[in-house]
Formats: sequence, C-alpha cells, structure tokens
Amino acid sequence: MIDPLILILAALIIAVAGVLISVGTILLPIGGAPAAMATATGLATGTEMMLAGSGITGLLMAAALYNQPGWIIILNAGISSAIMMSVVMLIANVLIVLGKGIPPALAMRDKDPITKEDVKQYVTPGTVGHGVPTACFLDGMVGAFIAGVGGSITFLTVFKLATFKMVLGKEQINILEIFSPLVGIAPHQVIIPIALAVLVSLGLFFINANITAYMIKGVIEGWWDPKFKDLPKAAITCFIVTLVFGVLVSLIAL
Amino acid sequence: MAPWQLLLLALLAIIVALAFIAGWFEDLESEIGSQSNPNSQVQLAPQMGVVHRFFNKAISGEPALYAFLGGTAGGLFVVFWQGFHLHPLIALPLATGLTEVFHVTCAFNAHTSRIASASTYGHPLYMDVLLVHLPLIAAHGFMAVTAITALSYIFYTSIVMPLVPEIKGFIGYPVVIPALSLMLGITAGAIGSSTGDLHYGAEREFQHVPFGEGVPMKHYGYITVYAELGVRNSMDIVWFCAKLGGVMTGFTYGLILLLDNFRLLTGNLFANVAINIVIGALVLAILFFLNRYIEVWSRKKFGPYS
Repeated sequence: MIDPLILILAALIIAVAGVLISVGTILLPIGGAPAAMATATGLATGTEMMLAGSGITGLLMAAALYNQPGWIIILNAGISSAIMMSVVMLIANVLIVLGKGIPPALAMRDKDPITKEDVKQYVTPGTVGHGVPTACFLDGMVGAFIAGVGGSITFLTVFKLATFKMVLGKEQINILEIFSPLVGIAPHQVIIPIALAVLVSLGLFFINANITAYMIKGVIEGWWDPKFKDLPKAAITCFIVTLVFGVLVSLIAL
Repeated sequence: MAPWQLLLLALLAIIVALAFIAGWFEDLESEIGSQSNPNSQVQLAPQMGVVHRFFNKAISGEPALYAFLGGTAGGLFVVFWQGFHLHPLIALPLATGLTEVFHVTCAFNAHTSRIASASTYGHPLYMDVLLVHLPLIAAHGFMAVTAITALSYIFYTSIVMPLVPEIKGFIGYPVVIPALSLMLGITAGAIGSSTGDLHYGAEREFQHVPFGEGVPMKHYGYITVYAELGVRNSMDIVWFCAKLGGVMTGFTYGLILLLDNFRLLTGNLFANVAINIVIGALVLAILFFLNRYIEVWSRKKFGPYS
C-alpha cells in the first residue's frame, strides 16, 4: 500500500530539485552555435547538452558515494559538476586564446561585473564577445554547482525510496530517512535502484534544461543578461512540470 | 605501499588514458562530419553560393549521438560478455564494431539528405566525398566508443566484481554498463562540442578571416573551401584539428575524470569523505585562478582590438 503523504512529500522534494536545476541552467554561460565561431560569449554548445554533461559527473559521484549521509552526497555531487564545468570553460579559453588569438571578452557590459576591467575594447566589431571571461566563469561554476545539487537530490530521493522497497523491504518510511546513511549494503545489492535513480535524474536534467532553454533562446551571458529576468517564469513552470514527474517517479519507486 | 594500492593507481592511470583517447577521437570524428555547431556554416554555405567538398552529417547534437552509440555498444557488450560468455577483450571490439554499422548508416543518410536539401541552390552531391569519408568516420567513432565502453567496464567491475578483491569499492561507479556508457557518452559529447569545436569553427572553417579576431556575422556562410593544396575536404580539417582541438578535448575529458576520481580515491583510502570536499574546493579555486591568469595573459599579449 502506498502512503499518500510519502508520495506527495517525495514529489515535492523532486519538484524543488527541478527548480534548482532550472536556476542552475539559466546561470550557465551558453553561447550556442555563434560561440563556436567566436561570435558570442560563452560555451559553444546547447544548454541541455552542457547541463546534462556537467550534471552527469555529479550524478556518477553521487552513485559512487551511495551509502554516505545525504548532505555529503549532495555537496560532493555539486562540486563534481562544478569541476567538470570549470575544466571545460578553462580549456575553451585556452583554445580561443591559442587557437584563434583572441582575448576573452563579454559584450553586454562595458566593464566586467567581477573584475571591473574595461572589456569593451577587446570585442571584435560585428561580434558579441568571445570566450569565457571571469564573470561568466564564476557564473558557470555556481550554475553547475546548483544544478548538480538539484540532480543529486533527485537521485537521493528515488534511490532511497527504491532501496527501501526493493532491498530492505520496509513498510513504514519516514521521509527524512532518505537523507540518512545506508549501513551494511554492498554495491551489488543496489545496482537496480541506482540504475533507476540515475536514469530518472538524467531525464529530469533534460526536462528542466529544455524548459529553461526556451526562456533564454539559446544564448545567455550571465546574471546581468536581460533574459535572466525570466527566471521566475522558468522556475514556476519547472516546479509544476517536475511535480507531475515526481508523482509518476515516486509511484515507480514506492 | 602495498601491491593493491599500486594497482589502484594503475587503474586510475588507465581510466585517465582511456578518457583521453575517448575525448580526442570523439572530437576528431565530429570534425570529419562537421557534426556540431560549426555545421551551421557548412549548411549555410550553399545558400551563399559557396560550393564545398565537406562531409556534412549533423545526425544530432554530439552528446545525443554519443549517448546513442555508447548505449548501443554498452548493451551489445553486456550481451556478448554475460550472455554469450565471451572474454571482455573479444566482446568489446565486437560490440563496438557492430555499433559502427548503425553509426555509418546514420552518417550516410544524414550527408545525402543534407546535401540533397541544398540542391535547391545547385549544390552537387560528390560520390567520392561520400565514399572516402565514411570509413574514416567509422574508424574514429570505433576508437572513441571502444574507449567509452572500456571505461564503463572498468568503472563497473572495479566496484562490483574486481579481479583483485582488495581493491573493491575504492574506485568506480556502481551503475550498470549500458547506462554508464550512455552517460559517459553524453559527457564526452558535451566536452567535444564545447571545447574542440572552437578550433574547427573559429579557426579552420574561416581561415581567410584574419587571425586574432572573432568571426563577424558578415562572414557567415563564406567558409574557406580551398586547402593548402587544391580543394579542401574534411580530411584536411582533421589533419589540422588533431594538432590542437582534438588533443585539448582529450585533455579536458582526462582531466575531469582524473580530478573527480582522484577525489573519490583519496576520500575512500583515508575513509573520510570530508577530504573529498576539501580537495574539490581547492581544485575549483585553482581552476578559477588559472582561468584568470590566461585571461590577463592574453589581454596583455594581444592588446585591445584595433
């Protein structure tokens, strides 16, 4: 028998994770196709792709630490995502500097919001910036961290609910137990719950990144971009969509 | 140091080396087919009256393609390894070789239909371009997907069923092989699309635009179609991009898996996960300051636009 209270609480936790993923997505400096030609600031790829790429690094870390306390899993997954994003942004800058001979610069502000340097003079006329300057770098690092945290919260909820049912055979579940450590469970016992949880979290990354990508229309520089003001709209949409998704997923896991 | 600790270090080294190969060949494979974002210019060129001999296959975004290839190869690998009881070293190339059949089919269809859609602008479909590039795509894809599937095998077996029991649980992810190779494929695609393609899109595709400036919108579609000798095709692009773009992509993937697994391994060896978090925060700070250094260095070196 499924406890409706647990179902609703689990769905609400997943919905909050969805909002976190949405906030993380809108923070990533995404340049889309123009960035691949050094015509726009940011990373030269799509929003969903970059978010999924960085989120997966966090998810794998969460899967490796499956028996640790919840806060350690969440923090570690966020840091893993941020490391993936930072390394990619660093090497993108190395390629733009050594491969094309352009210094990184942003075009929407005259001065870099973090370092307060005059960046307008480095922008090629006819383009809207190139590479990943310091403000975008910090923005992307924080965005990937938040998205990684959101992904690992989803992972944790689905994984723990599935483990309680499939491996431990628990009838009564306290919702706070999903953040407590698992003691004495070997990796081969939790293969199926982990597979379910990582694939569900991966799906959640794509759903929320797609909804947010509609708001930013492919290119965004950072929190100073006018499109960033659409964040509340994206967050509310993501909350509703993820709530429905969360109910369906919890029905599978419970 | 005990022998099993040395074995763990060797395992970490193999993981990083395989990631390097996967990233490198993934990027080069995408450049043979103009797969990712630079494809927009190859697609636009016929509308601008530029006739080219590039292979133009944008089957999908790179991460989606490599998720498909990785998932297929991982699934077939498990079937051969566990179902037919083949040795993993035989099952691996067999599974990846079969996956390349799907890959080449997608590449063939993508190129012919994309060029056919450009026939409105009078662009011909060159049969030699089609036939010469397909084996190259299969070869590069084979290397990348083999490395990704081998990585998944190593990650899975070293945590669930290692050959040496002492190393159990120190390194690796307890995720089933097809799901793991699908996810590692998405990551490889995301990295290749956001780093290596800059070298192709910004530099090699627009070599007639002066070095040292971004590509202004007015140049869009007017790609460089003549090579160092004769007419340029996608093989000239791979030759060029293998020198910087491909290597750096491999370096990125290797570095990500190195930093992440080093964190995991150290935390597990000392049986204290707080170490993970401290190392992670330190790595993030170092990466931030490295990026700042490169930015300041390049601005000093190149100066403002004039």
